[in-house]
Amino acid sequence: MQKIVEMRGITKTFGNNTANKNVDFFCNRGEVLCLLGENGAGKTTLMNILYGRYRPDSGSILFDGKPVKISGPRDAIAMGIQMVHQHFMLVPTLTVADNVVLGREPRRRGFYDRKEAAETVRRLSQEYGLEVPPEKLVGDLSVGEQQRVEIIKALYQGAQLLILDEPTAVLTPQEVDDLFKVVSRLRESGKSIIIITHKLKETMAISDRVYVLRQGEMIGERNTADTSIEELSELMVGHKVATVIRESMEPGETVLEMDHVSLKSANGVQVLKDISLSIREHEILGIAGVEGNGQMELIEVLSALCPSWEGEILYKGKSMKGRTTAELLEDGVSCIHADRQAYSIAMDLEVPENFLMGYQQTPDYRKRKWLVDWGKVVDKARAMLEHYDVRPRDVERKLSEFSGGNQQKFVVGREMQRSPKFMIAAHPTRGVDIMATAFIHDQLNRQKKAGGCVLLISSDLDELMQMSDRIAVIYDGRIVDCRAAEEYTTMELGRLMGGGQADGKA
Amino acid sequence: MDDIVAVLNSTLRLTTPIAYVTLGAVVLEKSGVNAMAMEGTMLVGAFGAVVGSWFTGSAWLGVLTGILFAVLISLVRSFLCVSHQADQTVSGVGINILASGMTAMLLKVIWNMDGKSDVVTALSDWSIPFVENIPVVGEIIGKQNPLVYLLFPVLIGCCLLLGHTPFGLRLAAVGEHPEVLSSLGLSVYRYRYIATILSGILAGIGGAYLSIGQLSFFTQDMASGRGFMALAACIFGRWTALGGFLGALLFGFAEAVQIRLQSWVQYTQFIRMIPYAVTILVLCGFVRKRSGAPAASGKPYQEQQ
Repeated sequence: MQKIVEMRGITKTFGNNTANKNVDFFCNRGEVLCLLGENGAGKTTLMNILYGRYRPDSGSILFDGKPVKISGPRDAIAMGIQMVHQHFMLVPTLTVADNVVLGREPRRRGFYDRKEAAETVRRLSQEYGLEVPPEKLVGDLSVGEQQRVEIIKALYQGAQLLILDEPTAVLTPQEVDDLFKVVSRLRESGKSIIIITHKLKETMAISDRVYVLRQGEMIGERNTADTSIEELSELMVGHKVATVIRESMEPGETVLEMDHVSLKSANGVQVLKDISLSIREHEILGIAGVEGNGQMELIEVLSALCPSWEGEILYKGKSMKGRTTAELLEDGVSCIHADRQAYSIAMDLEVPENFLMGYQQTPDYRKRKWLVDWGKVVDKARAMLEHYDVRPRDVERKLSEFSGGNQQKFVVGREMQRSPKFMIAAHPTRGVDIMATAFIHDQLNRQKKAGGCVLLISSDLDELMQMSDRIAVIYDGRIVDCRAAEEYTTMELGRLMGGGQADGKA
Repeated sequence: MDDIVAVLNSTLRLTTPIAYVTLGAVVLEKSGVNAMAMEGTMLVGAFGAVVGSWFTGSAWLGVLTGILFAVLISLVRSFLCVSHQADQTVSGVGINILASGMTAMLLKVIWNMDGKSDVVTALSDWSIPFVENIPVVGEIIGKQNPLVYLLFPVLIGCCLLLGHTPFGLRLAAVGEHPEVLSSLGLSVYRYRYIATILSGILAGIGGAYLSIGQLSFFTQDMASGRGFMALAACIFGRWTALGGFLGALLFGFAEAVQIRLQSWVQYTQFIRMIPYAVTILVLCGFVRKRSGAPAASGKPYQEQQ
């Protein structure tokens, strides 16, 4: 096989932090390569170097066997290297066609030729089986569609080597399947694909070869056919990891009961339709669903952020109607929000301020009745960082200086400290690496053991199957099914999430 | 009837300066730099035009000087808030204050006068043969300042530039999501500076029209809020050239009505408030809604090294 690109002895440091240490790496033509590693292992940095966004401190890059200097994305693009970033590089207010051709627009007599652009997009999408509507605004597309637009854009710009940064993080299981089909098709047509990921299953499913990075160093290289999930996970983390699994317990009394709850959004759309659910002590109830089917609204209703619902919700036997978030917080309802930066933490504040959030009303942290006892807050915050293994253990840092996984651990820790009776956990492990995921799952199980209950909302089906006692499937604001977790298969769940029928009903 | 014709005629005259500046504001905002400094830029343009006309004796060279001055002050502002990521609102307000103070001082230096300059050569009106003889229409558009006529090709040019060229597409991308352009290897700064220069040119023409189009001298702070009206018009027009022009037309009309009413009413102070009241009403009505503002407008962006 012919090497399309090779990187030798790449080192890159940011301040005191070494992101890549003497990394060697190559990719063949027509190969699907996975670059595996925990968050912060230096995968994205390495690829950004290849794409010309960062310049390495030392090391060399060879393209087609010849040494090259890549001093910016322009150079990389000229060689046929394209990158689909984790946060899509698309302009939501422009159409699909506009986004695809941006930077290399077709022209007619000096003017931008919109028709030609749309035609090109149509042609490319047929050629590679990537369905997208060229005239639609990107902002109106689903995440999966946007990703297809990104891939088409890369192909239009002349990609020979396509780098995908965590491509499955935001996709539903069906969309992941579709993506993998596209990747196979690209491989057949001779393109090389590098996938940055920390998901082992997907690595096994799609790649020809795997590189594993750990703390900036290249730990190993394997042919996918010769390795296993266990080996890869050990390489990635440095030691064996036990996956946390469900611990079945006898459920206790009902903690929360939703009875025919409905909700209309501000613009009159029925977003929750006649939802009846109940959760008992010692129980984790999973909510499966494609994002945007009412999960957000469900969280808002249950945490009293949205008071205008109809129906009845009983929490510990008392109606939730008219109660405020603060009252519920006091009464043992706590929430790990899906968007932690919007709801759970203030990025520019330091640890103690963030730690106090939600506790500011409690007399525990007051002195002389009206003043905050910062000394005590700092002590408690420090203890919390220790207990929940949030790194670095430095209370004087702003939350923005912690990695995403550690921010999440911080939030989980703070909410767990309340010893809540009812915890809402929305995508608690999104964008979080293996170790932190195991840790958070362990915390959820503890919560369950301690006599509480958890409403676990996630788009990761493996997580739901692993952790939940029961799973309810939400589709279009309605609960379409609710059973014990072991009664579902993953395929069936996926189908239900997409509005399909359950097994045996088809 | 005479009233209507007179109002329409003066609407056109009074729209022109606001419209130029509005187009400048649209181009600038599209690129992700807010149009907070249009007031000061316009004022400097008006001043430059008088200076140019004074020294050369030619009104057209005056217009060019006005453009030059306005472009220079725009570049100063963009140097602060594009290259050095200064807060755009603060730098914009700073430029406005600087413009006001600097022109007042230079009045003193050049003409040794307070408040207004000497009279200089002004642009004389053009009259269009045949058209000027058509009743009503002729009275409205038959005889106007050349910069009034120039407005229309400029407007069409802006519409084409923003809506139908690769440049316009990239400009929209820069203002909405600058990283996209960076990731394609294109320079965000480059497009923001081009937009700065274009907006400086447009604001300069608008300013020149104020001083040597409508009048033949400069008075202190003669932009009197038109730069902000232009910003309002830009928002009213949802950041499109044509929409912005319609917004400017609305303000021009409000001013024309105001002037007409002054001769009828005793308390002219209230009448003079009309254009500003309209501005506030327009902003109340349009700013709140999700209105197509470039998402990155007002946000500093640093290019990767």
